[in-house]
Amino acid sequence: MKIAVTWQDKKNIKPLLQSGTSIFIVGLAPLAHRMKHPVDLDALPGVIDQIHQAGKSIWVNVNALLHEPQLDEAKRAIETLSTLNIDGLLFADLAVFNFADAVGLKDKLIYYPETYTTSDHDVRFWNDEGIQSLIVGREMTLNDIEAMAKTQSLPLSIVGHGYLNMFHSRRPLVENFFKHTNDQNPDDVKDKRSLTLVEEQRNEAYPIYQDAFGTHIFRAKPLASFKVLDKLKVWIDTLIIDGLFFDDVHVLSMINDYEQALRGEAVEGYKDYDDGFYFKKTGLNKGVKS
Amino acid sequence: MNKPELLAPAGNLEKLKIAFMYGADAVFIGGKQFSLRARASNFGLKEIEEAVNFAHPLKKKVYVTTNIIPHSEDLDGLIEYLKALEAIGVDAIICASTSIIDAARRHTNLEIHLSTQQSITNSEAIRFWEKRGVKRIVLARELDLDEIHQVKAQSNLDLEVFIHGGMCVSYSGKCTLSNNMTDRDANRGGCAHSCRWNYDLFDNGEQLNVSMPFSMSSKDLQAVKQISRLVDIGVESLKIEGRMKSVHYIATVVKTYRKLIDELCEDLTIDLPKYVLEIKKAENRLTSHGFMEGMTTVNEQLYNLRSEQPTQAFVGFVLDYDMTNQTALVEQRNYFEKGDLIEVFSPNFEPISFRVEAFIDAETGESLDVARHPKQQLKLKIPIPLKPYDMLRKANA
Repeated sequence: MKIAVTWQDKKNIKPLLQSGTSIFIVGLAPLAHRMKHPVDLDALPGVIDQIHQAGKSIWVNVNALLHEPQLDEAKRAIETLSTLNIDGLLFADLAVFNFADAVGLKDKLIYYPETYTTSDHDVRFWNDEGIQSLIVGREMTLNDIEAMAKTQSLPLSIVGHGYLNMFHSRRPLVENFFKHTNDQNPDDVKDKRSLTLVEEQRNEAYPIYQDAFGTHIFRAKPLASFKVLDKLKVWIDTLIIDGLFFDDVHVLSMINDYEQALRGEAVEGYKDYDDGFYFKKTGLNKGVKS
Repeated sequence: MNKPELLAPAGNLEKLKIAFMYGADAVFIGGKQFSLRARASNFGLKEIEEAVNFAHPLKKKVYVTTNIIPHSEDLDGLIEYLKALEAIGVDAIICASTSIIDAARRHTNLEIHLSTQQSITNSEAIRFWEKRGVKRIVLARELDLDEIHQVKAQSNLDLEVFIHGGMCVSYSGKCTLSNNMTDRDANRGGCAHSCRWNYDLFDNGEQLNVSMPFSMSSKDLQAVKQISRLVDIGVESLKIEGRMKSVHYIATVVKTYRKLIDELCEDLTIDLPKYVLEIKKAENRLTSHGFMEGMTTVNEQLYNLRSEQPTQAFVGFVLDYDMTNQTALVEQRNYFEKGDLIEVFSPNFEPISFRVEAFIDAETGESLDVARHPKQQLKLKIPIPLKPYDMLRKANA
C-alpha cells in the first residue's frame, strides 16, 4: 500500500519530500476544493520537478464542481496538464473526464466524487471507462470496501486519515447568517478556518468554513485507519492522508506513523480520532440495510 | 415556442390522479425499491402498473425514481426490478448511480433520466452522460437562469429544472450530514434533514451567534416569476417537488403552473401577483426563487423556522355530485361549519364561492352544523355542478 499526502506549505516541504510518502496530491487553484495549499498553473511545473526529483509521484487535484462559466478555464488547464509530467489527475466533475479524454490523459484519471463510488458495480464501470483509479466513498464500511476490492479490476484509493468533508453547499451560509443577525461582521468570519458548528442536541464540534466555492462542513473527529490497516493494505492501493486541518509537522508525523504501522509496529497517540464508517453501518434507517 | 412538460410529484395513486386532473403532463413516483422515498412509498409494482394504465390513455407519462446511490449489498434484485418496470411500460426511470444506469442500459430499453442527486452543473458533464445512453438531465438546483441558458445552448439532451418545492441546502448527493449525525444514509433514503436543525457557531470556544441559533435551512423554491424565462430558454421539463405533500397542495401548485405555462405559450398577458397569491393558498413554508436570480442571499434562507399557515384551509374533497338535488358527497379534510364561506377549487373552472347551508352525515343522515371529523363523508347542498376530485377550501381563511 502506498501513502499519498496532500501538498503542504512549500517553505516546509523538504522533510515531507524526504518522508515515506509515495505520492503528493497537489490542488490546482482555482479548480480544487478543500485544499490547504493549492498551486496555480504557472507554479505547477516547479512543484512537479520538486516532487519528481525527490523520487515521488504527483497527483493533481481538480475536484471542483464546475459551473458552465468555468468550463473554458478548466479545459485550458487540463490541456496544459497534458503537457506536464503528472502521474495522476483527481476529478469529481465529469466535465474533467471529457477534457482529459480529449488530450490523452484518461489513463491518469482518478475519480474522486466522495459520495458516488459505493459499489462493486461502480468499480467495474470506471474500470471499463479506462481510468487509473477511484477513491472509495467516504461512508463505506469495511464490508463495503471489501466488496469493491473483490472486483480486482481497478486499483482503489481511500482517504484514510484526516477530517472528512460531510457537506458542501454553494451558498455563503456563514456570511448570510451574520448579515441577517448582525451578531458579527460577516467579513470577519466568512473565510475563517477556526469555526466550529455545534448542534443543540449533540456534544460535537464540526469544523465549518466558507470560501469561494461555498460552505463546507467536516466530521467532528478526524479519521484514523491504524486499526484496520491490515485489511486495507490487502484491498487498497493508496491510502491518502488529508492534511487540510493539520500543520506540516503533524502531517510528517502521521506519515511516519503509517509507515510504522505498515511494518507491523504499534502506533499510539490517536485517541482523539475515530474509525469513520469502517464499523458504522448506515442505511435507510439507523444501521439498517436500505 | 415549445411548451415544456409540467412534471408533478405523486406520493400515491390518489395524488397521481389529482396531479393529472389538475394539469400535470407527467408525474414522478418512487417505488418500494431503489428509491430515496422507498420508506414512504405506496407504489409496489402493481400500483405502478395501475399508475401507467391510468396515465397512458390520457397521453400522460409516469417516471419512476430509482435514485439511491446503492452499496454492493443493495444491488440484489436490481435487474429483475428494472425489467419489471420495463414490462409495465413506465416512461422513464430517474437514476443517480452508475450501477443502476449501467444495469438499465445493459438489460432493458428503459429511458434513463439523470437525477438531480448527481448535481449536474455544466454541459460537458451532460455530454458524458449523453454518450452513455441518458436521455434527460435533471439539473442541479444551484444553477441560475443565465447558467441554465448557457447549459441549454450547449446541450443536446432534454433538460429538467426544478421550479417548486423543498430544496437541499447542500449540493444534492454530496451530503452525508445524516450519515454522520444519525447513522442514516442520505443517499439511500435515510436523510434526517440535519441541515434544518439548530446549531451554535463557535470560533475557538467563543460563541458567535448571539441573537438566534445558527441556521442553514433554505426556504422552499417558488419560481412563478422565472417561468417565462425558462420557457424562453427552451427547458423541456419543469418539475415540482413534494411527493409527501397533500392532495390540496398538489392540486393548487399544479393547476397554477399549468395555467401560467399555458398563458405564456399563448402569449397572453400574465398577472403574476395573482399566480403568487394562488400558490400561497397551499404553502405552509416560506418560499424564494432559490438560485434562479443568482447567488443566494439572506432572503433565500429560513432563519427563524417561522411557517406560514395556508391562507385557505382545505376542508373537503368532492367524491360525487347529484345534479338533480344539487348535493355533493364530500370527504371532510379540515374543520368547517354552517355559515362558512367556502370556495370550490376545480380543474375545470375558476374558483367559485358559496356559503355552507344545510349538510348531513352521509352515513347516518344526521343533520349537522359543524364538520369536525377527518374523512367523515358529508352531503352538502352546493348550487354549483361539481365533479369528483374538486376541492372545497375556506374562502375567508
